[in-house]
Amino acid sequence: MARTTNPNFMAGVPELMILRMLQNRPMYGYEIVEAIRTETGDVVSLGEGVVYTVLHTLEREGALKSHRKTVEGRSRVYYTLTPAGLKRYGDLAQTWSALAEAIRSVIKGGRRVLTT
Amino acid sequence: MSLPLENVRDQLLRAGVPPRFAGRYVVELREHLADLTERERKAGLDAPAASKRARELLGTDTQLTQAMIETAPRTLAARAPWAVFALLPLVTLLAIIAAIVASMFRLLEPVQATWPGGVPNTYVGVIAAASFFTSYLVGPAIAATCIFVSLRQRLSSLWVWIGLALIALFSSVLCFRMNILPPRGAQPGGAVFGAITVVIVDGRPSASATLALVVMRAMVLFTVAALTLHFLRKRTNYQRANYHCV
Repeated sequence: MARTTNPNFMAGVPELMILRMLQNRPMYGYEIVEAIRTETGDVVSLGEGVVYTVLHTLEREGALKSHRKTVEGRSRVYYTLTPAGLKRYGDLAQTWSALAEAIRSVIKGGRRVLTT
Repeated sequence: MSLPLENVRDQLLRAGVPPRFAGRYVVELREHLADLTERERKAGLDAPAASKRARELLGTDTQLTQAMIETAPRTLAARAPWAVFALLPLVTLLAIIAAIVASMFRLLEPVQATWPGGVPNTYVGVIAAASFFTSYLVGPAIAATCIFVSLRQRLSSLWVWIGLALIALFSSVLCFRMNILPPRGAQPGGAVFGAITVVIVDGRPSASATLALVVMRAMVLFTVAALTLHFLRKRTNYQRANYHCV
């Protein structure tokens, strides 16, 4: 059976995660999925095959570059972040941080109004 | 035995995803599948169980296909088959014929007055080659390109057939033609350049002979093209049926 994901909350998450992973070093698809799983403690798990559609879209939009490289006898497509991708990650991370903070605040019982 | 995920590639092509995109996607999925299989084997599963588990983890054919269809662009052939299989071949045919007639005119017109004793052999060869090329090669080459594109993209649009019929007809009508007129009395000889097939009978253009030739050539070209397309499609379908059997 395929791994279950939570699509309702996943819009935009794969893109953010992929861009974050590629900030460190060039990676290939399988490596990216594994890295996301490990780094999020298995909380976020991308559909194994779906990662490539996100990677290809980001590449078309200029956020990533790809090149083929043979490592240990296996030829793989490695993805690298471009300056445009880095900027995109910055924007996305900011949006998601603000959103996460707002949700956390709501869950904890409403926004605190700071007064001086 | 065929390669895994060939069915995904086939479905993507049928949905109009460009072959380059579909091909790369499937190659990367295969590499991913190999990595997953290796991981499952290391986790203790035997080879068949590891393969099965890896395939399940990768996602179903429908999930993999749908994900790509939602994000990838569509080929022009899928979006506008009328343009790719009917309009573009006719424009190409017209452009090639026009270019050849124009260049032959530029090459031969200035020198044809210097042929009082008949056309030199060099020019006869050039004229015959241009005439043969436009009469017998351009049409089949364009038809073959249309067949190749439709098979490569798994397109079964009616426009493919309409396009082949139009190519057959127009490539039979259009061709480079040059008639050398000998001098008659005080009238000097000369050359007549044309781009339409004309059959000369007893020194005069014959409409019925021209029509018969055009229809026959169009029918032969269309029949050959249609049979080729039909045969190759059947062969592709047979291979596809085999993917499901493995």
